[in-house]
Amino acid sequence: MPESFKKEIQPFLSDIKSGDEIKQINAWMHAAQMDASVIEPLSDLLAAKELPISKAADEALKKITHSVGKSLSGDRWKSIVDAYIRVVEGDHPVWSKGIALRHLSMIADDSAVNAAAKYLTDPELQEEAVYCLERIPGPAATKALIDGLKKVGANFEPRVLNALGHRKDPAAVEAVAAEMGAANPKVAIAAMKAASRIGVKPENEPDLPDFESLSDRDKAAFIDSYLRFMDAQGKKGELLEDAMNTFRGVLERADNEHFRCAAIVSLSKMGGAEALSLIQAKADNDPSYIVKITAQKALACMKK
Amino acid sequence: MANKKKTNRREFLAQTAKTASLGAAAFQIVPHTVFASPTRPAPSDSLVLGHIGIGGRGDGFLRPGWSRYLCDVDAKRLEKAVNRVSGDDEDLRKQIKTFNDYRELLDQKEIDAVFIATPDHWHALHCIHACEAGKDVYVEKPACKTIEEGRAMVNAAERYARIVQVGSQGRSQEGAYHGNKYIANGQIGTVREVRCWHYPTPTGDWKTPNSDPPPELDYEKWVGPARWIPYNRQRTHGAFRWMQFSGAGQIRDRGAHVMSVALWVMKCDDTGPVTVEAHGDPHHQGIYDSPVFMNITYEFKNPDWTLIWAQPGEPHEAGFRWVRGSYGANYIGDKGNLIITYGDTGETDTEQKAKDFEVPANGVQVFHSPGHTENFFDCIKTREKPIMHIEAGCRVATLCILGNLSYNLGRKLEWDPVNECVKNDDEANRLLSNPGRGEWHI
Repeated sequence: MPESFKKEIQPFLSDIKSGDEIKQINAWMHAAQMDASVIEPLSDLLAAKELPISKAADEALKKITHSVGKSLSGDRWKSIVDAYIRVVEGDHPVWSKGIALRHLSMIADDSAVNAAAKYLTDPELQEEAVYCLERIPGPAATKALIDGLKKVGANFEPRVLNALGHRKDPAAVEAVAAEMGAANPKVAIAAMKAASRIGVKPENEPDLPDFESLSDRDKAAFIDSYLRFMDAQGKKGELLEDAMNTFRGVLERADNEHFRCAAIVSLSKMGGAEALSLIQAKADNDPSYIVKITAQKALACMKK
Repeated sequence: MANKKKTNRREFLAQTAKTASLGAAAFQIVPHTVFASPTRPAPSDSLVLGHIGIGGRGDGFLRPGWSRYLCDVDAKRLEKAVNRVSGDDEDLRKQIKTFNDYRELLDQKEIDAVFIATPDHWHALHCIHACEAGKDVYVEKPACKTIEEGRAMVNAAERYARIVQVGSQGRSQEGAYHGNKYIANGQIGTVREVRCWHYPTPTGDWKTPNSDPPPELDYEKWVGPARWIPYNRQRTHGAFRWMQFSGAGQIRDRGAHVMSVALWVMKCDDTGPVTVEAHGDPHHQGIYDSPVFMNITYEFKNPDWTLIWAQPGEPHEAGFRWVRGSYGANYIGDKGNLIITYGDTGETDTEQKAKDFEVPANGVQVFHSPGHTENFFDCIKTREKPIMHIEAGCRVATLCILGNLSYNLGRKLEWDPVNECVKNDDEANRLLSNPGRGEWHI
């Protein structure tokens, strides 16, 4: 690698912007050793109309980011994170800010949370902001998403709920559960999905959407979320009676055989005499051959 | 529609504890397979199929009479598929329903199974939602884009007891069967190394600028859960394979075939490597960003063996077929070696010594697939795991994912195949999942 790159940014940027493919590749392939101060000008080049330049800049930034990704500590890592935060907060093209948020999602800590959270209500960047917060570990990102729930509007609230569900942070369960009774069914179902993925029982008994009024698709999402949640409790040995009631009730559903199969699978994991009895009944009497075979397989596993 | 009535958890549990037929009127049409007995196949030998993604690959799954529900985000491809399935038969054409949104296709109660042949970044969502809708699934390879996606697909299939076949059809080819049979019966001894070779990833050019998408393409839905990227004809439809956001190179496109056979032969469908080290060369021009040349070493433990994926690697003339410029794998044991070429199409082949080998009475039998889709259809009836079930498919995809990850990060990875995480690498672990976009998320 040319010695000059270690010290001088301008030759490096000139090569990135050149029309010479060999110079561009040589530059970005060795970008890992560049000083963090090159990140802002490189980020601006992401928005270049010339595809070779924007690609070279993009590849260079990836090299720089990945060079500090293994341990996410140390002065160089901090300087790179700070540089991306400057791109997000400073006067840079929207596209560049979005890419900077993606890089922060890979390597940033709490220090990037405020910068990302500011864009939760910005229609052009809110998707990248959520993406970033969804990935940064720790309570600060969870809190930022919770705080954002009531600020982003009903259209985007399901996206934020999804992010909270994906993070599986128990600290979010109360805020998520509070949305399960939302008047907007998209929000309510998103909240149910998120709560089921977090898998922790909220302190306050949540309201649920009116099942009968849901679309078929939302009913399926409702049942899926309920089954997931009860599976999670069953694994922890909690709410066993409620879980048994849920699975028993789903077993009696005449509509979709796959729900009955799901209940059988859940019951087989719970085990016990009552589960065995319920599954045996399905193996003997269910009108669906799929349910019968599923029940027979479950019984065989339980008897091992 | 706003909900005026609310329920709490205890009220809902009380309702579901009673025998109920919820909204039965909405479910008059039930799959014809429902009323069969467990010991014999469904009354009908036909299935009602849905298809999500009907481009170059998806077109090959269409079956006149069976394929009645078609979904694609490209209206021209959809129209072409309708013509292909119905031909001149106007009655058949009237039976076919088309969709732009796969969720509406999955709402159709009549569908027994769906074929998913969309770009890689859509596979997980389509598969998971299909399982949640009660459909059996044939999903194209590689199964998933991230480790998290793969686990979610396995969980969905297990939760709903669905049959999920991944489209790495090499295991169903005669050549792979004969090769596996030969090796399984110790004819080359203990295999310590499997060397895969494949020609390089195609290179692109700079001739095509970003532009507005064509009117027939719903580009927002095409991108779906992936990170937003401006439309460029060179990275859409079939060319998705060469972009990391959607496909990610030959290792995914064909590696998922060749290495699928390798994992099958080595009996590693439920495990993975302990180290992965990748080196590669990028494109020198064009918008593609997957490596052109590549060399990846995967180390497995207990038993100890090495898997190598190489572009171009060491093509072989095996005496039965000149395979330079092509792809395959060389299985190297302590008593000899065996070549199995290709690993996807019917051209998959192996050496004559393997084809001539007959399993002795006390030998090891290897499952002889009747054909990949045939095996899928059989398993829909028997509810047995297909030859390329989703867990196996995800383990193969894991090799592709980790290979690319090591290449992109520029470092060797230590992999924990039980807990499915990278040891001592924070950034790598963050990259084992990828948050969705908009309404598209697992």
